[in-house]
Amino acid sequence: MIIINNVSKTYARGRVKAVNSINLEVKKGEIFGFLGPNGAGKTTTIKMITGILKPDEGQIFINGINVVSEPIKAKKQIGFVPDNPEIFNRLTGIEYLNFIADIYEVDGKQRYKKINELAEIFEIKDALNSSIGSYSHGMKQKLIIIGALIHNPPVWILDEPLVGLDPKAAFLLKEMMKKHADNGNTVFFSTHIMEVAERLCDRIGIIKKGEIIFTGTIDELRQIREENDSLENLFLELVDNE
Amino acid sequence: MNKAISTVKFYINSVFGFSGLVRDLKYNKKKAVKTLGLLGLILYSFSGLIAMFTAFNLKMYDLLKPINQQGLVVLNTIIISTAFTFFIGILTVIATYFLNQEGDIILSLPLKAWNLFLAKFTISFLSEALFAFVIMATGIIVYGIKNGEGVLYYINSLLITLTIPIIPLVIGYFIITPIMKFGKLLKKKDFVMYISGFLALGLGVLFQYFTNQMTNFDKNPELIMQKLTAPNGLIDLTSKLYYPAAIAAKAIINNGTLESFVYLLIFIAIAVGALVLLLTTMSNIYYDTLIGSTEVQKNVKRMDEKELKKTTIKRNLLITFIDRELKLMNREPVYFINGPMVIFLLPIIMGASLFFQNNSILFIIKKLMNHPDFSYYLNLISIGIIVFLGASTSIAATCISREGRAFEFIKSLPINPKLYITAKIIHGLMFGILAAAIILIMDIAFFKIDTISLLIILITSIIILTMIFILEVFAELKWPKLNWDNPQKAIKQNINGVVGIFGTMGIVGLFGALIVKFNIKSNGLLIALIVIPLIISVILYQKLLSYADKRFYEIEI
Repeated sequence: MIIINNVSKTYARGRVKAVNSINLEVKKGEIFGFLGPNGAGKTTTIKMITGILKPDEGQIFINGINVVSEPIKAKKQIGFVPDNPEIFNRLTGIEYLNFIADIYEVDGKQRYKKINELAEIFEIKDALNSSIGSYSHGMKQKLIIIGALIHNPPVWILDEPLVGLDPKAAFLLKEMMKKHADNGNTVFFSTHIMEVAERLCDRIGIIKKGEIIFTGTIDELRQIREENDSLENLFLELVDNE
Repeated sequence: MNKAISTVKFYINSVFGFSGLVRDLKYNKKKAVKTLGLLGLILYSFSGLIAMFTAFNLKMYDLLKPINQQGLVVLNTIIISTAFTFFIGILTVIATYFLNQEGDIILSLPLKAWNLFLAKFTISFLSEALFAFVIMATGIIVYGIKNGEGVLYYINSLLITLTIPIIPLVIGYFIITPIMKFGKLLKKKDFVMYISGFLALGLGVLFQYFTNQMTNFDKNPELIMQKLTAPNGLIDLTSKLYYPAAIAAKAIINNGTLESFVYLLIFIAIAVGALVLLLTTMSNIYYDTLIGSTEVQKNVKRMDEKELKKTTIKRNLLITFIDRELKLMNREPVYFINGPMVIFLLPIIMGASLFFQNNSILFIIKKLMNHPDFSYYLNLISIGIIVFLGASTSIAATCISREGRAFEFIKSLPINPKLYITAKIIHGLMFGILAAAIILIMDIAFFKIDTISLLIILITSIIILTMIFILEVFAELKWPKLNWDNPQKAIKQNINGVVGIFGTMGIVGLFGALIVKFNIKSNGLLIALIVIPLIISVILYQKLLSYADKRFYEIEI
């Protein structure tokens, strides 16, 4: 469960307000899609949830744990897939996964089971012994996804996770997200692909210029707009009109 | 041609960040002051070299004046400057050969191969021009003032100075480009980078030989002068081997005459001709080496079930962090060559120095060995060298900056900052111990050092290094340089790294000077060198842990 209370964040010594007093609640067992135009504040919000950035104001709770006051405890609840998988290019895939598993204190048996299973599904098992620098963008993305799931996190956060994935891997990822939420976990992801959000999300949140302009189900959005249109059109109208 | 100029401008801005500095001067004065401070520090690091060359040129001028051969000061400065820009130039060529902005975007632009090669050449040229300027100034100013030269002399000298690095760099690229092509054929770019690093090591030894010749000057100036100035002497021979130097000298010395102007034009024409030759013959090969330079060779050895099971075991977290530090540092050629390799490189250069000066320094050492306080001084010198070597790896001084943008990902993980920081200090100390081992082996081999001294040297140097590393990590936490596009910037253009090396050098030098000046000969000093840094280290480490616990979460890119 993620709770965001009155969170604000500014850049450039307060000159640029990236996120302005946002409130959000994402429940257990829910897939939540975070939508918004470029520069709206999606990644800033995700970075604050994952403890990368410190909010200027407000509080964020992960399963009831405050991210700022108890960062290690809160982060243990999270599995995070960043928007850019360019990290630790000099390590091999297996070295990276072992590093992440050590950080999350995953025992040998569980990590073997998880790596074996997920690397097989994503078809990167043969590449685990190669350095990450030799991977394609999609392969790096798959590796990071495996790393994020290695400790079976109660809260899975993904920033633009489908970028660079081939259709099969994208399909598999969507299935995994569903399964993860079905198991009572929280899934929070940002995307620009409206079809994905429409098909996958239990609820969505739309952010524009640092402010949340809508949260709810897609049906609720249709009711508010009094239109039975696709999410893409609803989103465009909402973002343009607000 | 416009495309070539635009590419050159783009490269200059992205590597040196001149436009960034101008912008900072307007909008971010604090950052601009930091950048200018770093520049000042780099220039200051030349001060020893400047003093050495100036003293040499002053003596040389006074000795040559009576025989009306003082013009040789200028010729000699040109030769030294050329040699210097060649040796340092090779390193620059290697260091700047692959830059990140040359990723797929630059290669996909409709640019000709020579456009990119010229832009890259300009980058190397600008750094070398600075070296050439510093060295040339020492001879040109000495000769200019003593000979009462006019404005034209200085204008000619400036033009010649700016032209000097071109030919050595052209030669450098003629050597390195085919090596890189060979590396590409072998599909082992990293391996070639390491090999080039060792090539630089060889050149360093050679350079040591030349500077030793100059320091010997103090002992017997007349003999050295004879060696340099006699027909077929060093200067005569070098200018015959490298005739452009003689042309450049004539252009400066005979300033104001038509002959001088013609020589100036000839020198510039030779340099430009060499550059054109390089661009026409090597551009395609250079371009070819860039294509796929971002590709990394895949390990084709697949992991079987048994192996996978064997590797997936839970480890102690501190060991996990240290293991990651070691792998990320040692596998990145830029980090390894500028970091841990220094531990091997400096002792080899020092060894070469002893070898080339076998008549002087070794004789002094042998004489000193009979001195009753020899063992005391040897202990102190060994400690000084180990401390300097340990700090020269820049491991602790660049430990956060090397993470780059991946630091954000690190922050998203449930990492205990105290453990994370401790691993970085231990990483630095591991190489400190390695440096100590190398120096102690040398001490045992050359001076038959006893076990107690060995232990004193080891313990003292490691405790002092611990204190230095803690201070360096403090600086890194406070001012990390995480926003970079080329790993060079994290280690070589990082003010913390530069301060770490020169600061340690300064402290070691200051201590040495104080000990010599006040003739401190007491075992109490050795005890103080253990106890004081130990107390400081314990206090600082506690402070560092609590600072890291807070600061880790505040660092934002």
